[in-house]
Amino acid sequence: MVQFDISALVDDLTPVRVLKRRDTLLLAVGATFVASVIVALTYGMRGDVLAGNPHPIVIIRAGLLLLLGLATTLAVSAMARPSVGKVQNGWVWALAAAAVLPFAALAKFIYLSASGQPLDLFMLDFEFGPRCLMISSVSALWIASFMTWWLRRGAPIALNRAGWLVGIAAGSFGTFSFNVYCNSVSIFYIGFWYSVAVTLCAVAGRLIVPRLIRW
Amino acid sequence: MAVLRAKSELCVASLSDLALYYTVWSGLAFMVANDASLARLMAMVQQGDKLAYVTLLGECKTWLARYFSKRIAPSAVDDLVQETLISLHRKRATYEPSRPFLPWLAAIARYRWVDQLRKTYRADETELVAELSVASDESGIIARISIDRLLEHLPEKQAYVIRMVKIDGLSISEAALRSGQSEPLVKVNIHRGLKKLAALVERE
Repeated sequence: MVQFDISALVDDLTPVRVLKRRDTLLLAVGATFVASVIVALTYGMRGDVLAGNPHPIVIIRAGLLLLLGLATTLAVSAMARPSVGKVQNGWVWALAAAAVLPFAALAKFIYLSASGQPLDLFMLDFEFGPRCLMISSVSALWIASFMTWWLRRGAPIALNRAGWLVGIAAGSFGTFSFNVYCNSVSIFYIGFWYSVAVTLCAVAGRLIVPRLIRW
Repeated sequence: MAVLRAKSELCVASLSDLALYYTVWSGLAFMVANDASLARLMAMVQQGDKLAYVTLLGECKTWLARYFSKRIAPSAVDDLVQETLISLHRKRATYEPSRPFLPWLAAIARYRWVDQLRKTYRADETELVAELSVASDESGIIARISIDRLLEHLPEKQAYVIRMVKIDGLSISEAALRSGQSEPLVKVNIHRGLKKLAALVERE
């Protein structure tokens, strides 16, 4: 082995700006805002949102998606700075809260099936649903690119977990940006398509992000 | 610290000089011995203080050598210490001065160690990479020493087939014959064992 020369590192030393947690949050929220504006300008906005009186379920789904996005972004931000024994699992609770939507859809589905009432699967809207996926995924890709860039500047030590978290965060924010345009208020629709969008983004994050942030 | 070590090798002219050196030395020794002082040094390093960096790197080098000596073969320690110090240099912006320093350094050290193990064992989980079974070079031996320590934590059946296929280079069918397990079971045990191994390394 060649003798390691510490002085080479010392000579190369320059002042650095410490990575701040709030920077990640600002980046993600800023990218989400831009994505939402682009979606609104391209596809329009829900009438009730424009009128300042949104349907309660729109407020609930937006709140849950924002909560999940913020919690996972904070976890991503913590992961950029390594530390042994530090656990950031607040996002798990946010994920559990967001899971209420698909569970509510499932519960209603089971109830209607068991009671012999007609299933209104039309509410799933298989024509509009794929557009939901497309818009949410493109927005998520845009948001994830900033988060991945941030992680590359940092020093994440659990790459797979970081991949999942970037996927969930970007998926939640991406779906939030679609939510301002989404005209459905059906629990079936939200429980199914929104969950699929976030899940797909999470899986994509797990598959793609780790190889981009290895250092 | 390096300056002081050099100075300590010089002849001390008088008793008063000796007392002075002792005071400075013990003060600095105390300073570098605790995490809070290392954290302060690192904060100075982030502002570009080269003198603080010399001291910090020296202390980190010693700490890392001790850290790795418990985990890997002695001949591999120097390389890993070097890689970790370079990582410390590259990722120095990720340290937050208000937080403890050593957990940050330990996290980087662990990452470098896991990364080295991953590089060595990047082979497909069920297919044998020929070089691994044939090569008896230094890195192979080092990797084996590290992995042997970890294999002790696995159930015997899993460790046995991993050793045979991944380290000794037997084929799946040969391992099945020797272990008395079916070929699919050998594959499953290798897969599960490696997965558990990866989790162990992450937790270590």
